[in-house]
Amino acid sequence: MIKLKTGDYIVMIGVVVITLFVFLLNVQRSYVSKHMEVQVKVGGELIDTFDIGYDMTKVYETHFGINKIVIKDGEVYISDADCPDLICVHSKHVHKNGEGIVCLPNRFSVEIVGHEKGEVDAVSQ
Amino acid sequence: MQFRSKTQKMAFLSLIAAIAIVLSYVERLIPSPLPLPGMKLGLANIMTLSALYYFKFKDVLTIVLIRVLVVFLILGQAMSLLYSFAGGMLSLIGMFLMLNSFKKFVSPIGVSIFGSFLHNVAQLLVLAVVMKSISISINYAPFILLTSIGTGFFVGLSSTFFIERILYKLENNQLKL
Repeated sequence: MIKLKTGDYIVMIGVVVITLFVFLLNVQRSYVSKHMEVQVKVGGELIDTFDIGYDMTKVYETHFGINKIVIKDGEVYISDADCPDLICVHSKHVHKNGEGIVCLPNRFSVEIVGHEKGEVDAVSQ
Repeated sequence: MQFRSKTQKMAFLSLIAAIAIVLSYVERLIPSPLPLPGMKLGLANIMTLSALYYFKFKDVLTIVLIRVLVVFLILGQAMSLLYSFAGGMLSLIGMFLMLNSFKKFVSPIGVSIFGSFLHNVAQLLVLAVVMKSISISINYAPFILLTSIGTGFFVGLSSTFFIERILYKLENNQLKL
């Protein structure tokens, strides 16, 4: 049907390799600890910070739009929004460091930021 | 591609841009299977890519700029212009350079995958700057970049057909309308 040349395969493999690299970067950066903070940002500016251990929900009304976040059982998610695509609402609930959910039309983001990795400082070998 | 006059060329480029604009509109009607921000088929790039095979960079740049501007005016929200522009430009420059140097080694499919990859990279970078956090971009990156292979493949395939069955025949006066 279609003839794929060598260059095509190189491009495909290249993209896969880079994707894999970024994926590993994600894995390496993500961990779960009790001292994680949830940061709420609008337009890049930090509005609120919460501890992930305390369940709560809050509604944010900005001149961009409305977003409602929920922190429950160590998970964070956006439960409602007034944006047209609602991608933020349907996104996976996040619970690891580095993860986040973003609502592009409302320039609203909620991400998990962590501190030191657990209680272990170093591992002797 | 040769034209009888500058006006005729301008009219043809406008036609290509118009098709690109309609494609941008139509692809919004297709529901997205995954909740990823900024994931789309990028059908308008079929026009960009096909044009790169027949026109100089300057002309294709005009098509892209017109498309980005008009699509934003018709159905954009505030930030979408920035994302479309960044993605479209990086993708255009990348595809042009690839065709310039490696035309013999790639088919439109490979160029297209490269183009959609760059488009998504540019959008992730803009996201990082706007949200002032590289963390979210890195978080979404693997999924978005992986889909770029699929959409790039489809766009490249469509471009191949468009080039073979329309543009090539148009250039050689073989098109029966």
